[in-house]
Amino acid sequence: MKRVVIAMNNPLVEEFAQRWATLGGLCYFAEAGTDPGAAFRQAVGDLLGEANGPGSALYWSGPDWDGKAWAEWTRPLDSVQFVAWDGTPVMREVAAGADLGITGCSWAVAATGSVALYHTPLTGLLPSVLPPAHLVLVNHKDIVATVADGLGRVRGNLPPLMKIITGPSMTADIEGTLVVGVHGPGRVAALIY
Amino acid sequence: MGGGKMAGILPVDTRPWPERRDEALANQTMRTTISLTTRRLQAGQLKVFSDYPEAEEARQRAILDKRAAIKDMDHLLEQFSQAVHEHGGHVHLARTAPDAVKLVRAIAEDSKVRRVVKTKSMVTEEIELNRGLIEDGIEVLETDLGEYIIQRAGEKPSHILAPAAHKNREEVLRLFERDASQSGIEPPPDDDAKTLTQYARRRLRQEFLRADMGITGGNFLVAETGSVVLITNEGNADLVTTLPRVLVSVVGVEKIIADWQALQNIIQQPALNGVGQRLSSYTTIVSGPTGGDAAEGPQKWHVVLLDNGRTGLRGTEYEDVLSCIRCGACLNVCPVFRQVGGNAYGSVYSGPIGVVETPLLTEGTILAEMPMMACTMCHACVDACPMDIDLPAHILSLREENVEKHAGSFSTRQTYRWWARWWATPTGYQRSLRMARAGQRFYMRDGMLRTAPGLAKGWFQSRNMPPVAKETFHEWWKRTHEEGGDRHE
Ligand code: SF4
Repeated sequence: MKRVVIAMNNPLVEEFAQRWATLGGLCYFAEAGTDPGAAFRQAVGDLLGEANGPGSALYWSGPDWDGKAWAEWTRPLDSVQFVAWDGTPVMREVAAGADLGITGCSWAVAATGSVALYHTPLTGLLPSVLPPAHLVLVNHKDIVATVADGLGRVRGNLPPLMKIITGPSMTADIEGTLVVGVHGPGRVAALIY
Repeated sequence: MGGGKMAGILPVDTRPWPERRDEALANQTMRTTISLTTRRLQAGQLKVFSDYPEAEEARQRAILDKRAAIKDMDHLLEQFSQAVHEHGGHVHLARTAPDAVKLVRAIAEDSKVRRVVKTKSMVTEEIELNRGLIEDGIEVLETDLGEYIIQRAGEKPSHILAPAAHKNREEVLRLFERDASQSGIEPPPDDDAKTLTQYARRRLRQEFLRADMGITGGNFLVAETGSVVLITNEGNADLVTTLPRVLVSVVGVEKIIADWQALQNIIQQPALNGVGQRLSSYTTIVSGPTGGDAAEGPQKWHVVLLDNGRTGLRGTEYEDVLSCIRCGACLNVCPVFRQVGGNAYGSVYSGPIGVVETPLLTEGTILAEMPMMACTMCHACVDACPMDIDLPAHILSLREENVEKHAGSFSTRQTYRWWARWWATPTGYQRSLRMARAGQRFYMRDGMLRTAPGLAKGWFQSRNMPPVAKETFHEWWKRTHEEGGDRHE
């Protein structure tokens, strides 16, 4: 896979992964020479639990993950129903019923373990928030050092809605007890490629 | 009222302080949870800064940015309005709380709204928005878990960041059981915090999907880009901003910052100082509607900018109060707040910032006595405040103003003068700390502290205001928008 490059041995990648893990996120790496499909299937399996399903996953993936390879990577997961986000209103119900949302991201931040998503018709925000689990695909080249660096990338390119995700949805509203998965996903994973 | 100097209107618990305080001190659940929560949050703030020098550098820049933005507020609000308008949104200006409620009610009526979902927002508490909407037959649901709990109980938030800190698990279970039977869904099986949270997720999920209007507050308004920035940990702001077809953001005018660079400096401060995280789980930035047949995002977006007494503080010694980012750090370290919690303050704004801000916004018409009652002069708040707001100095000034305007007696006045000097010196400060500790012990003894002499009531009425900018935002608004109207269509 020529698009997959060395993800490790890069201080930004390592810092991001470490921060992301501290927040309770799972981390997977698709390194050069390995099959990214294997890391992908591992992540999906871990997020869905119980030996890869059955379950449903709503996804969009960005230009890095072309359609053909996607079909190859997902084929072995035959108990999981994959639905592609198409930006139509019916996607609301699909997202609400999905067990897993899979998205790309515009950039990620090493210092905070954050990922940023921009709304466009073909890159919806709902898959990242409605399902109980979220898998975000992070191109290692999109990992920047600071939040300010990331926000700097938005200039001149401001979408009507954008979000920066830093860990799972959580609350401490009942007797100060920390609980994950309030309105957004309680399980989050990053696949760095 | 030229220059926008109009007293704000805030809800108030009219019972006297000793009664509110004693009620709080008798609530063991609240005291235990508030004590744990405030200590956890305070420790979090200290820890997160300890290995993150960039956070301190950003804080210093953020203070400068914020102070400058308050000075340049008129111009920046104008720029903000124009930018939102260019993105297809609408901006409205509300001078007072009732004006804001009227505006939101009109928007809801125009759009034939039946169901509203809300994020946590101090400003909508301040204007008592829910009551107005409910009067119009609209169903309004709070979606922040803590706010949802206290809405079920018909109560008020007890901490900015932990609104239901006065409710224990059994109480929450009872509230949810009643809620479940009313809405015909399965009640939570037990009172585990996780189970209760899962119930709220399930219950509110259906409401998110069928709501026609979302209402948010806002942590920052970015003038340059016309953006409203929202920071939450639960993810409810993401749902409120993406699912309903109409979105209304009600935000205080003081939340304005100049540009994207200023956002870069300040964006982490609420989480760093509020919960001890480098960033909260969700930072949502809204800059416009997404349009007609999109799967997500509002078709219509309205921003209601609320003054309600804020612009009257500009150019006064209290101007820095307008840079508050509502992080709650001053509450978490305050020995009084730690004992009595938020409800005892009688205002939506509690703790050190609340005792200063509530009388200031209302020109002393409510809770003017609080600077005298609810402060031990320990100075912990100013050390904790990320925006360097000089809360103890303001509390002293408010005490003095109170004395000068109404108590009149020479000896009392001298006493306060002397106290002010006393606390201004290092040794005086040391002594004041000892006294603060003594004061705290009083509070701990379930309300034996006597209220200060009756110096209260209505100070401030004839306070002189220094001149403000040559054309205020309000004047600009009047000049460039339709006569007498606040709508910007
Ligand atoms: S006054 Fe300072 S510490 Fe208190 S809430 Fe506002 S910004 Fe935070």
